[in-house]
Order: sequence, then C-alpha cells, then structure tokens
Amino acid sequence: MSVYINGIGNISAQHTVDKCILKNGIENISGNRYHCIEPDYSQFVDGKQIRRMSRVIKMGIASSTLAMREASLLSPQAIIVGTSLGCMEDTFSFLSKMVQYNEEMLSPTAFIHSTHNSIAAQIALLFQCQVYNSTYVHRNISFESALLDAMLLLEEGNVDNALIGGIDEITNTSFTIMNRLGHFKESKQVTPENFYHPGKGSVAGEGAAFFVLATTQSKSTYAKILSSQTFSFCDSQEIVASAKLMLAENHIDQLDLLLQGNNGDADDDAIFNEIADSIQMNERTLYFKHLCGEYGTASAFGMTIAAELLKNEITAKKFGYALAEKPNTILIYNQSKGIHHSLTLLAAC
Amino acid sequence: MDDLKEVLKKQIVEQLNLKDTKPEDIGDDQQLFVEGLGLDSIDVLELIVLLQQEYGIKLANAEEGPKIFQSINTIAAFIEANRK
Repeated sequence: MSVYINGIGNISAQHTVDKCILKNGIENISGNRYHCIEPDYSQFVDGKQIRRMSRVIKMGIASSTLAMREASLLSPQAIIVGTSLGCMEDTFSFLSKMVQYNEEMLSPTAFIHSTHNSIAAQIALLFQCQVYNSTYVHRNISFESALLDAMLLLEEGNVDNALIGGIDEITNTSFTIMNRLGHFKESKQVTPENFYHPGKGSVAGEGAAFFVLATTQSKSTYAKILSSQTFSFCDSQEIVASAKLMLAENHIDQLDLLLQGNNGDADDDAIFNEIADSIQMNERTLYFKHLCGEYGTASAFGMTIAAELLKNEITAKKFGYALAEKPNTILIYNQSKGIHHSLTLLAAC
Repeated sequence: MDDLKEVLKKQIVEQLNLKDTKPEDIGDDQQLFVEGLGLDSIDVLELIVLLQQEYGIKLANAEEGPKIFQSINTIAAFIEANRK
C-alpha cells in the first residue's frame, strides 16, 4: 500500500504560504534567528477564536487549513502532530505568572494552551473533527513519530487519510536560553553564503509544515512516502545499514538525491557527512536548513522541499539547487547531536 | 467611579486580548456575555483573576458571578463595594 502526500501547508522563513517561492525563488536570510513569514491569520480563524491563540497555534491552524484546502479535504480522519517544544509562548507566560503571583491567580488561557497537544486540539475544534487526535513530543524525531503513526493507521486500513504536521516556534525567551547554552552562532557570523561553514552552533529556526496523507492518489498529489524510520542512541553504521536496507526493500538500486539536515554546527555536520559518504551519495546530497533554520521539527520542512522537488521540474532552480534533472527518489536524513536520527524515503508518482 | 470604569475597560480589553474592540467601544451598561461583547466561561475565569490581581478582591461566592460580571457598571460597583 502506498501513502501519498496530497496536500501541503507550510509556514516557514521562506515565502511558502502563498507559494511565491516557486515564482520568485528563495529569500536570503542573515543572522542567527530565522523568523517565519506569517500570513494574515484572520483569513483562517475568526476574531473571537483567534484572540486566545498564541502564535504557534495560529501557525498550526493556518498551515493545516492550507494543506486541507490543497487536498480538497473538508475533515481529516486523523490529526497527528509532532512538536519538539510545543507552545513555548504560553508556557513561559504561565510559568512567569506562577512566579510573579506566587503560584496563585493564574491565567486559565495560558495554562490551557501551555500543553503540547493544544495545537492538534485547536485544529480539531476548528474543523469540528472528533477523530483520532495525537501529539508526539520526541525532540527532533517528533515529526517522524507522527508520520509513522499516520503510516501505520493508513496501512492498517483504519483511515483513508490523515492530517499530520511538524511544528515549533522560537520565542525571545527560548532563543535567549538556547543561545546561552551555545546552540546558536553569533548573529553577525551568519550570512546565506557561509551558513554551512563549520563552527559551533547553528541558526535558530521555526516553522509549521502540515501534510494531508492518503491511500489514494489525487490531482494534487506531490509524491508518495515509501518508508520512514527513527533511531535513537545508535552509531552511524546502524544508520547506514538501515538506509541501505530501506533502499533495497523498496527496490531502489540508485538513489537520486539525499536531502540532509546539515546545520552549520561542525559536530552535527560531521555526522551528516559521514552518512552521506558511507552510502556513497556525496555527489548527490543537498541541504535544506539554510532555508528554515534549525529546530526540532525542521525535517517536516525538509519533507515539503522533497515533495516539491519530486513534483515540479522548476522547484530545484527556484530553491537554488543545482540539479541536472528532476529526481525520482529522495531520502531525507536528519539528526541532532548524534542522539536521535530519522530516515524518510519518498518517490515521485 | 467613571475613572474606574475607563480603567476597567482597558484592563478587560488587554486581559482578554479583545483585538477588534477598543475600550471606548464598550458601553457601561452593555452586556458582556453571549450576545453583548460575546465573552464566554473562560473569560469569566480571566475576569476573576483580574479582580484578584488588580484590586485584591476574591470572589467568595461563585453564584454571585453572573450578577457581578453582567456589565462594566456592575463590575465597577462590585469593586467599589469590596475594594480594600
């Protein structure tokens, strides 16, 4: 059974909401913090509902609506979200007030929305959709965990379609804390030209990428997902062996493209480069985090790039990639600090 | 009392994040819930927190809530009567 990507909604640091990126090309960004280019959320939610929603929830609502519109789907049969850090803005608001008011008189709105599963819940409320609803919080394999759950549901025949997404926001507080921990490069060091120059730390990113997955192909289909796998606390040889097995099981003798999550951090990129080298894909490897920054669910953004590359001939050029021809198979590999890894294999339809 | 009502309107707009409503748009006698300003049960909780934080007033009897939170006039009267 195949799993097709029939709709995508993507809010990122690029002009992906209105798909202007496919006309005008990529936005060159500098500095160590990439902000999303956000839509006018009043197009997606009415004023009364929107006032309680923090930015990440609005991003989730808008990108899931875009994915559903593209797939001409009114109501999904499952809603599954992966988020690494959840609703940071509401969490900080709630925790700050706990301290400020000595654990009394806490605002109910910030508390309600401080939970990680608020995003999936708000999407369900908006679409009046009382179906399977789940949220995975598992660092940088949160999105892949959601994807695997959806693939299992579709495989077992429980549902015909599922709305899945990977979403994370960066707030002033979370940026300050992670910056202090050495996660990011100094702002002035980072330009579009030297994003992948090896150094300590990466660039803070954020984004919301939602997909309508289905067991049947449609006019809007981008690509099919052949396989996805996550790994934790393993060595690179296990990743390489699994990648080779994944390709063999899907009868792929020669992979067209390896799309990796290199992020400019010397330690992280050494692992990425070792994998690319070991599966002999050095010459056919592209990166995507210079477009979106580094965040826990950046691989969901990577999957939007892979799906676009598999669907449209023009995409590679507009995304600044030098590809001789449109790829037919793409393997996405992502990891963080060598702890959690993921492989997702996609093919053109 | 008029000053209190103006302050209260600003606090309500801010606390409830009423982006499309300006403080001066709220009438002193306007119903705040359902068909008036369209507030709901979560907003009641926010207003209870507001009274505690800004005016040091704890709502002792929850059954009084609907009367107290009827309008700006009723909230202001409650604050005036109970403010320490």
